[in-house]
Amino acid sequence: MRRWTVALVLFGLSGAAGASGWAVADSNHVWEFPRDHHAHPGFRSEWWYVTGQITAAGAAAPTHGFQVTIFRLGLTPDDPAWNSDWSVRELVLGHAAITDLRDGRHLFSEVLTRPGPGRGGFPAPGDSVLAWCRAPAGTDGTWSFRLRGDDGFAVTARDRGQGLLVDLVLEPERPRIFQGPNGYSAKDPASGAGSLYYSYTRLRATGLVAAGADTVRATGRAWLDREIFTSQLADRHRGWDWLSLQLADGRDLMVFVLRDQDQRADVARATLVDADGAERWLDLPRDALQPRRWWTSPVTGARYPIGWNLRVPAAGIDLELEALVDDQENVGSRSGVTYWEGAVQVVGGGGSGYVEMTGYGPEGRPPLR
Amino acid sequence: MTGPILQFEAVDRAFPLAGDRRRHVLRGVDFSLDRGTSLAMVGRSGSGKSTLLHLAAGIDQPTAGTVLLDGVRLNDLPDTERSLLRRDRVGLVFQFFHLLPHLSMLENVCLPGWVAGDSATATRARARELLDRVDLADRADDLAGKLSGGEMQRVALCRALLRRPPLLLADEPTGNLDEKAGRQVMDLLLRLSSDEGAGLLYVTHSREQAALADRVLRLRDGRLESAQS
Amino acid sequence: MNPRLLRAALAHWRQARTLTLLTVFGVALGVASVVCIQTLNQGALAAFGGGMKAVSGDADLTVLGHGPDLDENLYPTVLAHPDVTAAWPLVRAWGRLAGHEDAYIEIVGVDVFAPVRFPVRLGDAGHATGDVTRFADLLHVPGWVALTPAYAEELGLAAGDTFTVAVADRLVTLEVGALVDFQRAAPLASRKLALMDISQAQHLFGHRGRVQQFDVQVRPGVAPEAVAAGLQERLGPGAQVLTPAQREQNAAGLLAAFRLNLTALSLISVLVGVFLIFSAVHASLVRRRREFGLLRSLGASRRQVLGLILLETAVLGLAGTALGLPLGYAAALLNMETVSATLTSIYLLSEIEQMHLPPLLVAVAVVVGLGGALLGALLPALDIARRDPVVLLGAAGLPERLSRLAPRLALVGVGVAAAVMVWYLGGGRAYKVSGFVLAFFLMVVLPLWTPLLLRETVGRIPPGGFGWRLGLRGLASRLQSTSFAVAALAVTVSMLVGITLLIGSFRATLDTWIGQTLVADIYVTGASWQRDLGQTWLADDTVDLLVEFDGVAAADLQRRLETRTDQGRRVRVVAFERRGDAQRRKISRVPLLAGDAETVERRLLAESVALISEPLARQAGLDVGDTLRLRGPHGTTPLAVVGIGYDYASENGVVFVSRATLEGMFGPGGVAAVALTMAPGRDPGAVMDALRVALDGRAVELRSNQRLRAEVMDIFDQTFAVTRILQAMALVIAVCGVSLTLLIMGRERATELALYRCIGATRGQLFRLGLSEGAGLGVLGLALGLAGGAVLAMILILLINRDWFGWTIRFALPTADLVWQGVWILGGAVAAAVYPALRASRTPATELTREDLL
Repeated sequence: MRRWTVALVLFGLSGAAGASGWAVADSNHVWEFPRDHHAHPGFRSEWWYVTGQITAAGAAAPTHGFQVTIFRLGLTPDDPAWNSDWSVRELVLGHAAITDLRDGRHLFSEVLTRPGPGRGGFPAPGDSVLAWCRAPAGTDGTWSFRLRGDDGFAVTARDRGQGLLVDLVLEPERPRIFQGPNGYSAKDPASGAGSLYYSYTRLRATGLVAAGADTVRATGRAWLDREIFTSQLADRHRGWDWLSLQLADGRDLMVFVLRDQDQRADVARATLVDADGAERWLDLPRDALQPRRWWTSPVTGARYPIGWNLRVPAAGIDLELEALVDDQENVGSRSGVTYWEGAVQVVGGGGSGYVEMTGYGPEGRPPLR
Repeated sequence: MTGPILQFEAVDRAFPLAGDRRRHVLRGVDFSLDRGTSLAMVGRSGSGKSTLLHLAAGIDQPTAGTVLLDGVRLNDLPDTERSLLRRDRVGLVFQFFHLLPHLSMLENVCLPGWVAGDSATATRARARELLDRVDLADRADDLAGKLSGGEMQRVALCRALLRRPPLLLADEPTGNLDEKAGRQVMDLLLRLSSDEGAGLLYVTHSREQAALADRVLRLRDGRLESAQS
Repeated sequence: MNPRLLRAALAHWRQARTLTLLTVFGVALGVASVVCIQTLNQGALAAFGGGMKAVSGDADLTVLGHGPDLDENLYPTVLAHPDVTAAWPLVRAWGRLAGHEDAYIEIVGVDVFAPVRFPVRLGDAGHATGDVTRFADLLHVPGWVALTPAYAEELGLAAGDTFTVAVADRLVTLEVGALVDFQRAAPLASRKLALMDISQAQHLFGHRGRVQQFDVQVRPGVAPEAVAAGLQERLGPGAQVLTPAQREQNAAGLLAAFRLNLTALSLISVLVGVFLIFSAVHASLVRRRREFGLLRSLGASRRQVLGLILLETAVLGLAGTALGLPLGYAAALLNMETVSATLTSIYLLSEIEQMHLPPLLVAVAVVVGLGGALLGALLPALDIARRDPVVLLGAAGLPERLSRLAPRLALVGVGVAAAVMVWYLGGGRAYKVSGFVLAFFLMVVLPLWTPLLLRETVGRIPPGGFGWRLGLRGLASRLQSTSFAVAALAVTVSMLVGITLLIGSFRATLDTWIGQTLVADIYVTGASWQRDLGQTWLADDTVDLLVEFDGVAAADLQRRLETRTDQGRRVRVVAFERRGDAQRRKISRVPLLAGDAETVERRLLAESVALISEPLARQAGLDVGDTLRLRGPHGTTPLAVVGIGYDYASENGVVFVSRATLEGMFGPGGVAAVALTMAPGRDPGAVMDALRVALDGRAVELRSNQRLRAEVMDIFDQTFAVTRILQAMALVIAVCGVSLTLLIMGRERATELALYRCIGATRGQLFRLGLSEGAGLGVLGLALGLAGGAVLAMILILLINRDWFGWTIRFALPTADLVWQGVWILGGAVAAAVYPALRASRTPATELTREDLL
């Protein structure tokens, strides 16, 4: 009873699209921090997402790309009134990936669990822990996103069996930004698909990482995303491409492209943060992100673009992006969630960032949407 | 009390073989035997002597003809009746003695009395008396298995005579005995049967022994011939 | 071996049909006994193993608690071990189906989001029915369960239907959410498995924070035992980590004594079967002696003749085995329910739902059948093979040697008995199996004494007439045949009598004990009480209602669970608490073997001490003053033994403590049973009726004192039900022996019988003679068997019971049972004599061939 069950559960639940009982993201949310860093149980799904590239001590260029995500997957809006700590209305899904940019090794670890004592959870505001889950079998300890100090975060994820470690402190170098008016990022106004979305586009990351071999001290740059939603992918959309870039000229850029069932770009939006931290929300032409090079996964058979032309005329951006390592695909064996999430760089040295692509697999729409 | 004790009238006995064939053991046997007389039957082995004795005792039935035992027609009599008749009228002596080895001499002799349900005391007294007449009274309580051939045949003789049967049948009574014992047994057989007034029919190989009887008949291929000399 | 000789054998078999058939039948019954018992034995364990596999799948290890459950917070510790690749929790409980008499369902609560290796494939249309997308309902639809299609059909339920289940005193409504065929993946699993989400299972059937087990998957290439050791260290003494093999071993250990006794019984049946074969083969060989004489005089060597005989016997043995295998299996199927009931009600293991014939057992059956036949035929074959051709061909019959040998055999018997006694007294009694050894040699010695006994008793009867005395005397004339029949019958009757005496004494002792211990008027339990291992209990308000009910003067509250001693011995712990008027309470005391009643009671209530049952005391070697250590969630707890009491309710031993003591070891927990004593002048029946009304809506069972006693006795009777089957089997074998012997005798005594006919005996007289011989064999076998049975009973009650169970059983004579059995045996012997007597009576007088009786 592996991924099928989970997929079935998620499928079965999200089949009742638009969800009875869940709150729907819109632009009327009243924001309050640090309260909103914590979980929002009224919404069906949310995540704490950090990606970044870091450099091991002594190296000249980035040595590792990393991604740590904790998802909260809601199953039912009401609390089942069972007298049991296993009683569940949501699941905790943890993903951690690290790519050794020098030898191209990409490690991925997944934890799927019910929240509960010793297993995982989303503590209420007041607790410094925002989201956590136990480490995978064979490993001690927990994975977590935590508040640190007034404005900082800490993230930890470890898988002893694979030699994967991400243990970083994240200090914002820029203030938090919203990815849409009052934090509402509309994906498809017709169906109401959208999310509450804010980010820390530049953070300084310091700490320890390991990608199979030894643990090294490293520093670098990270991007933290927080999205809260009930449904953000309209039925006609098959998946999305998302990228985050920290440009050499001091600007930060987030772009997402929603693709239709024939894998053609349908909706494209961006958020541009200029050097002094002011954000601008842009609608992009459909062809803003053009794939140039492709890679086929030997594991899933999905065909991902791994080289792009990115044009944002309104920001004067026209550059080429390249994945630093071809195979940065994450295959969730327990959850059935498959996607490509990897470190990319601007060809010619204009910046670096992360790209995420979903919906390229043969299964079609991701179960998480 | 009158009339012959045993009568054979045109008796045939045939045994079925494989298919439709039959083996005729006796053909048209005709003779009669009176009380107090003795009749010897001679013939080669296989000539039907034993069969004739069986028919006489009512143990077997003829395929044709009539067998009369003390005037009673044995032919269509049911088995039980024949057994009862045999009990009262016939005494049998065999070539191989047929004593029960686990019983004493006395007990062996008493056997017919037990079968018939006679009074135990009377039976025992008569048995002792008979054993005395054959000179075995002093060893009456010895087990029958420990006797010599001649002694055993003498006990068998007593057994046959226990209930005073009017007909005595003997099948090669000395066939298993040496000469001396044989003569002794023949002597006893003839004497005792005459004393008891019984008719005696015996089958023998020996011409000398056949000559001791009042009459001799020869069986050849199932037919009866009277044999002289 | 010349095939023509074998053809000759075939011809002979056809001629001597009855003899051959009886030989084959004898082998068949011996094989059937073994197959029946071993199939049941295997079935019992396989049910456990199958259940284990169905629930735990291919888990490499299982973490269990000491006691009914385990702290679920140990889960992260289990997962943290470096060589663990997955682990998942299980909640398990038994519920009783309301409205179905004695139907249970086993609930397994799983975490569907764990990497469960449960053999369930809900997405596969071939396995499941019901709307797959509604599978998510299992999380929040109240009472959602997945049933097997087989059970659903049996209960008349379809997907979507609801049904009610009683757990302790609660009624729970369940809804059939899906039908899943667990049995496809684990064929021996019970069809009564039901799947639930762990949260609902815990809510409805369990307790918050407690699970029954964690199943663990270990990294490939790493030895599970090593991981088990590591986990054990991390988890501490409150949990135990076991491999599947160890769990099966534990179950096997539980059943060890039960299975051993059944096996011993089946072996006795084999022994009797071998006797039968001995007798039949011997008779058959004697009949054919001329044939063998001819063979020998034609040049066949002794070895060739021996080989021929053994080969013939082997063929018959195989035929008997082929017949016995399906017979035995059928017998096992017939008894499956009975044994299953014993397993569940007494040993609290899974019931047997299906059985199969393992290939190894087939091999064993062949060995038993073939070996037994050859063993039985060996001596007669050697006897015939060794004789000279002249003797074989001779006119005289084969000399009856047994009569002469009888005293020597008896002497050998005495010698054997003496040797065994010396061994036993000298040190043999230290061995646990010494009782079985004694019993075995008793069965060996009986037949050795039989010939002499026969010769000196019936051999000296003065016949006095053509009746039963002549018949009896006749038995002594053919000792070679009759001794064996009598011996076989005697051995069987011994076994029958011995076991009857044991059961009767046990029952009487149990009855007395019940009278002393069950003194309350009304007993109240939850509906699923019988299957409960201590994890469910009556609601507090139910208990309060009972204690304070109008008419109730005093109440005994009982909490119970199972755990192990530090030696690994499984024990039941019963904790009690007394409420109510101490003066009015009827004193119910466990009758004591050691310890003073007043002191024991006082100390039990005041201190952390224990009163243990006799079996436990004997098996563990504990006496008053010793310390008993029990395993619990917090490690082992030492308890001073203050008394030893008689207890016949469990063979594994019971530990009585106060409720406070148990709480100290296992934490708080509710009561499973309440015993109520009425106030003086109050009618228990009326109070019970009132209680029923007051407790309406709760799944409680109320039992009057009589009813509880009757139930306890029912369970007792059930346990021994299986032995009855074996006894019946063995008896049939022995009675066949009587028939066989008489047939043989009839044939051999043909001349003698013909003589009687010549003398004028009617067929009816011969028939009655034959019947009296049969009755004579029966009486002799019965008499000898009674004596042997009395000795066997003593061995069983005093020795075997003491060594294996430890109960004090007072000797009691179940006269009615014994008398009835005697009647049956005698009747059987006479019935067995009818056909042979008929055959004998038809012996034509012309049978007086040229053989002599000597």
